[in-house]
This record gives sequence, structure tokens and C-alpha cells, in this order.
Amino acid sequence: MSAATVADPGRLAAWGGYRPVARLLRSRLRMGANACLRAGPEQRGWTLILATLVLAWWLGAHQLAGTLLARGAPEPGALRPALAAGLATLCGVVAVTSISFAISGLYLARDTEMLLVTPLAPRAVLLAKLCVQLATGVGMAALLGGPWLVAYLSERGALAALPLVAVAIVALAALPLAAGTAVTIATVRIMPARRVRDAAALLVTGTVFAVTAVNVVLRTPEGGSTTPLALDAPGRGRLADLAWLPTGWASRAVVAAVRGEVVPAALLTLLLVAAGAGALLLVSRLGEAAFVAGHQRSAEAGAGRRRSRAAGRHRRGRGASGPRPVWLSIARKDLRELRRDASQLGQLVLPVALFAVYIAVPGQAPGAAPGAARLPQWFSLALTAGFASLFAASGVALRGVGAEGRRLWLLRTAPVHSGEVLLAKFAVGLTVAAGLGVALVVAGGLREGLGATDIVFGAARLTVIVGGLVALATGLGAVRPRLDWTDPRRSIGVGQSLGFLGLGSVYLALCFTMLALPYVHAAPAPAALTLGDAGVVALAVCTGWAALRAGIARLRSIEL
Amino acid sequence: MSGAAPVQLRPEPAIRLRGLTKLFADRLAVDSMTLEVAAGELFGFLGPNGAGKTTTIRLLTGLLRPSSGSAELCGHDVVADPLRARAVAGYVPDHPALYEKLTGREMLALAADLYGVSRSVQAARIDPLLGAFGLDGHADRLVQSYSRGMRQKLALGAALLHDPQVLFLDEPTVGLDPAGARQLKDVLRGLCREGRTVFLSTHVLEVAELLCDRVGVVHHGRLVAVETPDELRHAVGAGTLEEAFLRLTGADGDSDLRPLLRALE
Repeated sequence: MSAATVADPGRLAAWGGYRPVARLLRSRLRMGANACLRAGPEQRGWTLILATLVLAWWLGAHQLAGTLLARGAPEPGALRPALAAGLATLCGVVAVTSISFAISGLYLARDTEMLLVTPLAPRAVLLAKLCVQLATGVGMAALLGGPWLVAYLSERGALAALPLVAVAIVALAALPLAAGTAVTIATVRIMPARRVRDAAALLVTGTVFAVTAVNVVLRTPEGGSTTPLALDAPGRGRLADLAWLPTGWASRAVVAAVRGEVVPAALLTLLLVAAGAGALLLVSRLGEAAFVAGHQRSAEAGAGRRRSRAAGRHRRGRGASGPRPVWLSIARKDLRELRRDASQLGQLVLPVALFAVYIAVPGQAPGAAPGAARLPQWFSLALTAGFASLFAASGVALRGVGAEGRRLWLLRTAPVHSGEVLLAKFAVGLTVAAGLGVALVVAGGLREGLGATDIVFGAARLTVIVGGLVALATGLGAVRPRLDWTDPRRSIGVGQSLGFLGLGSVYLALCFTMLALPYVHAAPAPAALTLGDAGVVALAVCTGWAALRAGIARLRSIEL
Repeated sequence: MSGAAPVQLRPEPAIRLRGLTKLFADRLAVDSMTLEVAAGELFGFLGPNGAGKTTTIRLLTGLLRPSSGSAELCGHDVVADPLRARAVAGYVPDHPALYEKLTGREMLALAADLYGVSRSVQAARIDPLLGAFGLDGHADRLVQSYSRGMRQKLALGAALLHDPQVLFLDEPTVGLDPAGARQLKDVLRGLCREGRTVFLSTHVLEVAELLCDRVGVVHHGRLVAVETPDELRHAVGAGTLEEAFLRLTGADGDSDLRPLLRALE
């Protein structure tokens, strides 16, 4: 073999170790392009649809932002604390998500092992993965915040400052990314990656829940806030805008760029770029040994926790000895997997817990809003619980088929009808989503002192609505599942997830509008069935039937 | 063929392919394949990488839909009557993806449920099966802690639980230690003695030569030969099955190595 192709160990020790980064990034770019454009006509069609949707979203959001800002775009100086608070939030989101991405990208991704056995310096692999993560984050930020930023800069006549502003924000985002990745690498050094992922999911769930609970509980009924400095928005802004914090540098750089003060803007941006690049290089250089050791540790087959066999035997011993219904077996398996995977459980529990806090605190439920006095008391509780169920359905039923992943072969080669598979997914989704929704209605009803009839009929109406919602999620999830995941939380694409949340919101809005209509001119008793109830049942059945039919047809045609 | 007594073939084939074809976009993966495998036969499916072995097995197990032609398992068409066809078959893929968060015992119980095996039969079969594959000490651990060989054994156990008439194995010896591979061979011979049909794809020609009643050689999606190992050797004029295989697939001699050696220089 030619000597030129063999890595020189001397080169690996110095900066030369970073040379392959560009090559790795080029390969990654090519993989992305191939996945979009060269994976067959169907994939090209999806790429075209997605690109059209993104473009439409971007232009629409830009138009809306432009219209709003035309009434008077605020002066950049006045925006600085709010801007700093926004940038601090961005840093928080990047730091938290970087843990999950570090686990998936560095330890569970299938290419890592292959890259680590090549004569590449692990720091090059690490830096390339960090760059990919940063680019992904930048893409998401450009999609969500880009239209507003461009509209604001256009309105202020400072569009030329866009590159400087973008570089400052990207450089700032590199800092929490490096920090989150460093913490993850250090933790995986002593704990296997999958356990770190589970622990991080629980930590994130607990933190977000605690912060939201504190915010909601401390908010006064008049809308004022008694929260401490670090939790309320103006206080957060003042804190984040401190001159010695990177968020303060970024907010000053952006404001200076918008005002046309090029020199201070460029200097602050350079400072941020140096800090961001330095942080990424530092993590990749100092963290490479720990990264390799952590990867080896995670790759080792652990002994695994022994589960109680006696309990299993006891359960098996009960009941008939005939075959168990297939859908029930699949549903039991899904519930076991959900229960044993803390990361999935955390993702499911968080939104529901937030709604629970919302319902539990006096004066927060929508029923307390002015203008809702004519509606029955169960209505507002069911509406809030309905949205909690929407998120629960998104976490369980929408991911039902996708969560099978590459294991779908087992269901496909067994004599199991696609309808039975979807029935199992629907049953699990309904158990979780309706169970949580009904629990919220009952808890909220008891706290509000509602009568038993109100609570029972409110919960019954919610169950019917959630039935349609879960069927919609199950069917949509089967239409385009992602089966090659390494993290079950990514078994559904972001677009599909957002699409379901949009469709589900429309469905909930229609259902609750139908339920509210009979109360416009009269006040039927809680137990009285109205035309609205009939409409909701019809809508739930039609939606569920159509979604499940589409899902069954698609599931039957999936090729593995 | 090995030293085993010749198998008495039954008239009704367990596996029947008629012009089976699979086209992926612009690539013909399986080209008009016609074949019959008798009940009780151990059939080896040989071919170089990318020849179409796995695709054929996936077509037969219902994971892929044929572009044209038909396939039957014990008289049930895999497209027209998929559930009956699947009910008589078992399948072990080359890299079986299993439910990581289930224990080995729960995994087997799920597989049995999927095939409609009654709970009393499950209770009678699961523990002996786990013991036979040396997994009894790991039965109540999550699958995520299993090694590759253990997963392979667990997948084989899951495929055998419902007592299939036809067993499809894709590279079954991958990941198994010598003792596991030996055990697998014994299991396969035992199944065929009981009248079950085994259809296995393998790269290990010694396994095919030792075990299989007949072998089929597939190349570029086409079945280029179907014979007993002895007949194949004689027909091609080769001393070993490996030599016969290399000649049939055009990969014999040193000529193929020359470009490789040149590239490495």
C-alpha cells in the first residue's frame, strides 16, 4: 500500500490531526444531498414537497413579520435586553439538546465505530460531528427565526448587517454546544451512553417542569410576576446582557451592526468567533481520549439487569391457556418498552405535566378567561386536557409504527394483519392519551368543585375526542415512519410531527367548537346530549376511520 | 452430498418459485427465478455478494413484494395469501434486530403470540428452547445486554417456536461461535429429518457442502445452477464445491486478484 495513504502518527499528534475534518464534512454534505435527491423518485418527490413547504413557511413568516414591523420597528438599543434574553434562551436550548445529539451522534451513530477504526485522529471525528450539529442547529434557527431577523433588518434598512449578525449568533451557539458536548463526553466516560441518555432525559424533564411550575405558581392572577430575577423575562434580559457574558457580547454586536457601527460590531463578532471556535477545538482536543474511552465502554455488552422471573411466571399462570390476541401482545410489548425507556417516558411526561400544572393552579385554566362564562365548567378542563392528550398522542401513537424501526421484520414475517398492528398501536396510544386526559379532567374537576355529572360527562366527551385524535396519530405515523433510527425518539420526522400537531389542533378546535355551539343561546344540562355531541362523534369516527385506513394500506405496502 | 442417507422427496413442494422477479428502480435484483424445494429438504442458496440471495429470501418471507412472478410456501401464495404463507414459515435474518427493552423470555413469548401459539404450548417450549441454546442463564435479562451470537440464537429460537414447516435462514452462522455453529447444524439436520424444509443462504461453502441436500447458485439475480453438491462438482468438473462455485460465478482463477494487487501497489 502506498505510504501516502497511511496516516503518519506524527501528523496525528499536532494540528495535522484536524486535516480530515473538511473531508468528513464534504462526505456528510454529499450524504445529505444523496438522501434528498438520489434515493429514488419517491424521495425526490418528498424533498420537493418539503422544500416547497419550507419556502412557503419562510416567505409567509417574513411577510407577516414585515407587516407587523411596518407599524414601527423598535430601536435596536431598546431591544438589547430582550435580545440578550432571547440569545440566553437559545444558549439554554442548544446546551440541553447538545447532550442528546452528542449521545446519538458520537456514541450511538453507526458510522462512529467505522471512523474510529480508521487512522483518523478522534479529534477530527469529534470536531466534524460538532460542526454538523452546529450546522443543523443553525438551519433550524434560520428556519424559525430567520424570517423575523431579515424582516427587522430590512425595516431598519440594515440588511447588509445580516452576515455579521448571523456569524455572531452562530459563534455564540458554538459555546453551549461545546459545553454540553464536553459534559456528555465526561459523563459517558464513567456511565454507558444509553444510561446517560436516559438520565439526561429525566433531568431535562425535571428541570423544565420545575421552572414552568415555579413560573406558573408564582404568577399573580392579574398577570404580574413575582418570580425571581433569573426566571422572569426582563430580569433574564438584564442578567444575560451583562458585558462580561458572551450573550452580552452577542447582543452588543447585533445592536452595533444594526446601527451601522461596523468596527465595534466586527470586533465583538471576532471575539465571539474566537471564543466559539476555541471552545470547539478545545473540546475536540481535550475530549478525544475520553470520547474514545467512552465509546469503548458503551460498545461493551453490559451484564444487564435481571428482571423478576417470578412475576412473569405469576402473570403467565393466570387465565386461559389459548393463544393471546396478537394486538394485545403487541400492545403489551409497546407498553413494556415505553415503561423501560426513560428517555421516551420523559419526552411523553413533560408536556402532559406542564398542562397538569396549568390546570392545577387557580386562575390559570381557560375557563377562567372572560367570555367563557356561558360554557359549562367541564368545557375548559376538557379543552386543556385535550391539548395535553394531543402531545401524549404525538409522543406515543404517532411514533407507534416508527418505533418498531428495523424490528418491523418480525411483525411483517409473522401471520399478522396490518390492521392488528395498527389496532395495538391505537390501543396503546388511547390508553396513554385518554388516560392522562381523563385524569387531568378528574383532578381539575375535583379541585374546581365540579359535580360528578359534570366530571363524568366531560371525561366521556374527551375520551371520544381523544379516540379520533389517537387514530389520526396512529394512521399518520404509519404513513411515513422512519425505520432506521438509533434513538427511538427520532422515529418520526420533525415535519411529520409538526404536521400532526397542526392537524390535531385543527381537529380539537373543530370538536370543541361543535361542543360549544349549543351553549350560544341556551345552557343544556351537563348530562344532556346535544347536536354538538353527535357532531363530535361523527367527526371522531370519520377522522379515525380515514386515518387508520390510510395507515393500514401504507403499512401493508412498506418494503423492508 | 454428505454421508447422510438420501432424502425421500415428497411430490408437493414446500417452496415453489415461478418466474419470481424483483426490480429496484433500474436494477434487476431477482431475475425470473423458478425453483422448487421439496418438503424435508435442506436447500443451500449460494451466491456472491449482491447476487440477490437476501432479496429472494425477503420476497419469500413477505418483506418485499415481487415485481412479477409468484412464490408459494406449502401451497400458499406469498402475495395472494400472505398470512397463511407466513404462518407456515419461520425466518432468521442475518442481523436480527430485536426488541432491546424486552427480556429474552419476553421476546420469545411475543414471537409465539405473533404466530398464535397457545400459552400452554409456550410454557412447554420456551424454557427448553432457551436451555437448548444456552440462554437459560440470560432469559430474564434485557436483550440489549446480549452479544451478537446470543441475539442470533434468540432469533433462531423465536423462528422455531411455532414449529414452522419452512425455515428461512440468511447467513445463519454469522456471529455464532464454533459450538453454536455445530449446534445449529444439528438443529437443521433434526428439522429436516422431521420433514421440515430449510432454505439457507450462506457464504460458508463447507456448511453448504456438509449440510445441504441440494444447492442453488445465484448470480446477478439469476439461478445459474441447482444440483446436489456432488452433482454440481461433477457437472462443472471441479474438485470442491468452492471451485465449482467460483467457476459458476466467474470469479475463479488468479485473474480477479490482479487488479486488486495492482491497486495496492
